[in-house]
Amino acid sequence: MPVYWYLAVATEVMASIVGSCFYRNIKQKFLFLYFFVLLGASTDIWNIVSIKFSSHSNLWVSHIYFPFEFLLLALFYRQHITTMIRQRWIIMLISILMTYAVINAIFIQSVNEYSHVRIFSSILLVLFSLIYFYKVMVEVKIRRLFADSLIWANVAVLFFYSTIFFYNLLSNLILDYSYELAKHILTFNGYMIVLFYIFITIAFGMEGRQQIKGKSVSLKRA
Amino acid sequence: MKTGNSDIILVYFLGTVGMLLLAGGLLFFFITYQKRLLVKQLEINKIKQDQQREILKNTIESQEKERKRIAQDLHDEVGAMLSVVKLNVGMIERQTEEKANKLACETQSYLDEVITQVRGISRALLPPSLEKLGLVYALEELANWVNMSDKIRIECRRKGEPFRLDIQKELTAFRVSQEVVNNAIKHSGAGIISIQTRFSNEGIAIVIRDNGKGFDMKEKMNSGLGLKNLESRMEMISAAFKMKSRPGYGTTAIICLTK
Repeated sequence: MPVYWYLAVATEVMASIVGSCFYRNIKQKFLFLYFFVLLGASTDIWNIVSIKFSSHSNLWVSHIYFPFEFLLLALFYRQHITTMIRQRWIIMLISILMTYAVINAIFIQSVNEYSHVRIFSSILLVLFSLIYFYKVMVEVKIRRLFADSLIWANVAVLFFYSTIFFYNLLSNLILDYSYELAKHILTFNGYMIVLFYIFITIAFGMEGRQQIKGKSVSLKRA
Repeated sequence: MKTGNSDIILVYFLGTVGMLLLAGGLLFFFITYQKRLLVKQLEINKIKQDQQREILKNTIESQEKERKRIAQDLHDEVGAMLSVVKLNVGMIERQTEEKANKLACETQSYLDEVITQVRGISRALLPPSLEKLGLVYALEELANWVNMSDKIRIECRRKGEPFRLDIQKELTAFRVSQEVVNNAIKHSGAGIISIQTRFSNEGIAIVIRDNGKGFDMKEKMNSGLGLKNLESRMEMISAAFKMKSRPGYGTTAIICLTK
């Protein structure tokens, strides 16, 4: 098992632990992102276990994981970009993508192929993150950008889903053509996952600490 | 197989690097733009604060000016008259009946004068007609008061059905109109001043025009605080004040009050 895989799982677990420690303080802003982190960590742990004990392809997991990944991240964004985009549009996009994922898994792709649902979901997630940035720009409420936890989470989404877009687009070709190439690309993706979860951990930690500080200040005032 | 492989590598590599650069570029643009917006917002806030400070300063200045004027009126006119009255009352005791009667008559006329002056000061502070009947009647009363002097003539005209506004708004508008009229009397050398009050669905517009010598607006705006003061006072009640003048063509002041 390559190192990056363990690193990726380690950062996922770290994000889950930080999220769980600050759960009460982050649930207002990051509830769905926290569930997404839990889903990601448990899926990758399952992947490691299944590879260790079975020689069968585990690509079928992508047909389940990707739609739910999009569902949770879209719900997370629904909470924060409501002033820019109507909630019902996001719900509609979620419904369309989930329906497509089911149709794709049953009729279009084989379950043993890498699901191409993520091609569409990553475009939509990058779009959501850009809408969020636009909202921040228009409202001009945040003075210090990188002191805001949501900015960290949004930067993570923007970079991760932008960089893995071409992998999602070409994944089945890459896997068919060259195992060596796939290994290199997966290593790169693995480090992107590490970076992605580090950013999310920073966001969770920052939000948790800010909320605790805010509460202690209000208690002192009371 | 090899060509296909290299094509995939090329597409993947270029695509991923392109996306990475695009995301980085967008983030950079966002951070830079956000910083610029913040700087602009801080500048706007500073301008707003300066404006509020200016309004406050002008308000305090105008209050001080008003107090000084009232003190002067009381000291020079009412105070002097009352001193004469006191002297007369003291003399009455020591005079014969005939002379005492004469002094009493004289004292009575002085007291009448004092009463008239106190009424004048009180009217200048808060005209009773303004509170009871409204802005247009207070302006007509002001015109009647000035017209008594025969030195200058004020013509009042009204358009539309009169209605009342918040008393604070009416009082400020009246004060500003009063100051414009006073300035016209003192400095314009005008023979006629017209006050036109228009009532519409949007609010009230008061146009005060004189046929005096006029002045250079730029010069006045730079040199004196008077016009700025009037503007500030109108801003405080969310009303607009505009003044137009040209040497030799008289002066026009417009006050717009919204409902």
